[in-house]
Amino acid sequence: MPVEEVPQTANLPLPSQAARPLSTFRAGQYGLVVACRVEGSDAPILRAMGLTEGSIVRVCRVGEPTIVALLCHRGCHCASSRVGLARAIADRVLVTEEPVPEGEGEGTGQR
Amino acid sequence: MSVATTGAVLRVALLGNPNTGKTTLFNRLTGLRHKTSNFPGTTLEAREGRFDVTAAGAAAEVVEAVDLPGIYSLDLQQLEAEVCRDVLAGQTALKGARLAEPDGVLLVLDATNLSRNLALAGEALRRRLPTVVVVNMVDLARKQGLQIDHDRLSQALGCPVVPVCARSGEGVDELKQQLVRTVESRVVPTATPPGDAGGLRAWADAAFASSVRGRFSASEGWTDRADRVLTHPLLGTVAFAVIMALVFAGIFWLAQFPMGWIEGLFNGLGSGIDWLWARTGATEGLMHDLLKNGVVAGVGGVVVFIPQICLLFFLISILEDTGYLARAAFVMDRVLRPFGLPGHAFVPLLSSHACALPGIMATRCIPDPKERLATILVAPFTTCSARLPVYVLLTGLLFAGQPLLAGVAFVGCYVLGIVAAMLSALLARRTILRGPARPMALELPSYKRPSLRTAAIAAYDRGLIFLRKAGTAILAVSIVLWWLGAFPKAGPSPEAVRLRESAAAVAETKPERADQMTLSADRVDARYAKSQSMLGRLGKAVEPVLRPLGYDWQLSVGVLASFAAREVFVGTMSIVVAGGEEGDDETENLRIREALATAKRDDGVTPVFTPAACWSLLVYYVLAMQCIPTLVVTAREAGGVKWAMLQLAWMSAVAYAAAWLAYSVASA
Repeated sequence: MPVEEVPQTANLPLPSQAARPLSTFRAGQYGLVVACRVEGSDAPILRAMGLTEGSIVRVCRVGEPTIVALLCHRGCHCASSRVGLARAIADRVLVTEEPVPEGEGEGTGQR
Repeated sequence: MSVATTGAVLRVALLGNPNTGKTTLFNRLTGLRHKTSNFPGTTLEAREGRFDVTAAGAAAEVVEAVDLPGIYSLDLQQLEAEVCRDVLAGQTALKGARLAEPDGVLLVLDATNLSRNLALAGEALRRRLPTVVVVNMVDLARKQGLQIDHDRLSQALGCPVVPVCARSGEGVDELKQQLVRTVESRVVPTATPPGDAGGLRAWADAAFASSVRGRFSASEGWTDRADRVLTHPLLGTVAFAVIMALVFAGIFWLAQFPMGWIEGLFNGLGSGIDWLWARTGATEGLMHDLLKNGVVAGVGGVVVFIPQICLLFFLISILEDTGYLARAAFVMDRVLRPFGLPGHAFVPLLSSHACALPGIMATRCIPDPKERLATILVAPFTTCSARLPVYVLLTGLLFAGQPLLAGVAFVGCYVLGIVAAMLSALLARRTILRGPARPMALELPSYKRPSLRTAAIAAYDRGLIFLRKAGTAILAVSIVLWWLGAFPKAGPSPEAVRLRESAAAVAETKPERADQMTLSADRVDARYAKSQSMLGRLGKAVEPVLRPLGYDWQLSVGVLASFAAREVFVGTMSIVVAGGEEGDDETENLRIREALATAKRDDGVTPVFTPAACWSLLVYYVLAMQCIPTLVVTAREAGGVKWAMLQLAWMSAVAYAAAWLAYSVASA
């Protein structure tokens, strides 16, 4: 799903059938964050840490905690940072599955 | 336009995300030429330091840099972000610093995490202050195969960009030159990043895409594996236990050497005072007593803990720098969460095992205010170093000649403290600090080799802060306690007069016996003086309150005297009960312990330290708030005296009830 079609608020319906909680992914899978339905002051902090609608993530560990590597952009392997999330937060981050980028081990900053 | 003339000072703010090596760069630039202070009206600390730029071709001689707290965004509704905003706007400054916009900004970015760091860069560039962007950790970026085109990045950001490795010092001289050039010429950034979140992100992405190329080492397999182990419910807990055991063993083993030297130094100072008085022929009066037993003993009692404090912060800094602490926070979250505390609380609680003061100060890492307050309130339950002399004395009395059982009792004291802290936290979170548990979301920084320099400077800083904040309070209280214990002056006791008369009678025939009797007379006098002092009278006045716990007036004096600092109990008891002996070596200590074990109450039959009284005292000292500096720091960190009073009342009530229970069970 293109990023620009992603609903920006939790009040809107689910973005698509394919979107599911981050906590249901397996380690090694890639995903596009389509909604962060986290409440209170955690939402802006997550956004500032780079986990927001449109972020591409690689799931490193699932459970308590769920660990994701934030990638520079779609098709890239360059993990810019790594974030650990309590399961309660991972349950509220909706993600669509992304294909594993081609050319494992390579990538460029240029789109 | 130039802002500085020869001899002028340029003021620069260091801004950056957490984990960008900003503090390492600050340390590299300023060395030990810095001080830590607060922002007015907050407990938020930052360091301000100076470095020489005359060699960098500057008109100014010195740059004064402030190391701002690491933040993810200037727009967040957090104290740290608010302070950064205000510093850049010239609306706040560290205490004692001039209130004005900084002359320039050093914007520190992590070379391995540029895409996210550039969002904060965009927010900072919008402030239109002369800015130099520092791309730090370029060595790690090279290892990862990242190729950063710094010229292109500079074009995209509209300001100079300098690649640096703060840990090795690579690029730091160039940075200084670029900084003074930019700041002195007042060149402001030419880029105009958008103000809205979406636009800013697109701008940051574009800046990243234009300047970063090359092959990336995509496989982070070993980091994934390390994360899986270190955050695993079982393996992670085992790893945590092993690492913490090593940290504690390291602290206690290594600290014993400098602690021994410091004790020796202060004993030497006490002897020096004696020598000075003997040399001048003056009688040992009030001033001698004040200097030796008030000032030297008071200061020595605090300074002796400095090695433990410094080592603790040195090792915490090492663990933090390696990237492990963030993983450990998740491990401990599982343990602490059922008690209403977050995983972040484990560092403060761990620190409190050395001393509650740095532990309470370390609660600033807890984002949720209620969780932070709960941690502050319960941290002093954990066994700090100052309790150890009391534990050694009481477990030694309870299990004389049975070191294994004494050791078990010792460990039991640690466990009791932790249990009390956890249950109190649970109670607080269910009542006065009720609120939803805040699930953790933490950045997990890259694993890397720690900087010993940064750790050493952290240890130095914390040692200084401890000395300044705790030392002054304890010194003042020590002098007050000395005064209460020394006045009113009692004349020689009738028993001592009789002993001295007998000694004089046998002085020629049995000189050794006469010496012993004189020594006994001195001890009897010391004990008599203490009983007649204000402290002694207070002990007798509160005895009815403490009697249910099994304490007579002598133990009551010990409890009262140690109200300000627990470790005073041992010294006080050696004076009140054993008659003023001081233990300079192990034999002396054993002799004091024997004297305490055989000391009698006023009825001349009942021991002062009955087994039941020892158990009661042990439980009391595990749980009681006998530390005024901790109350002072609690009031400051929790934001009000009422919290310190609540802490005092709750811990005293718990200690009293538990000691009564222990005495009742042990007496049964």
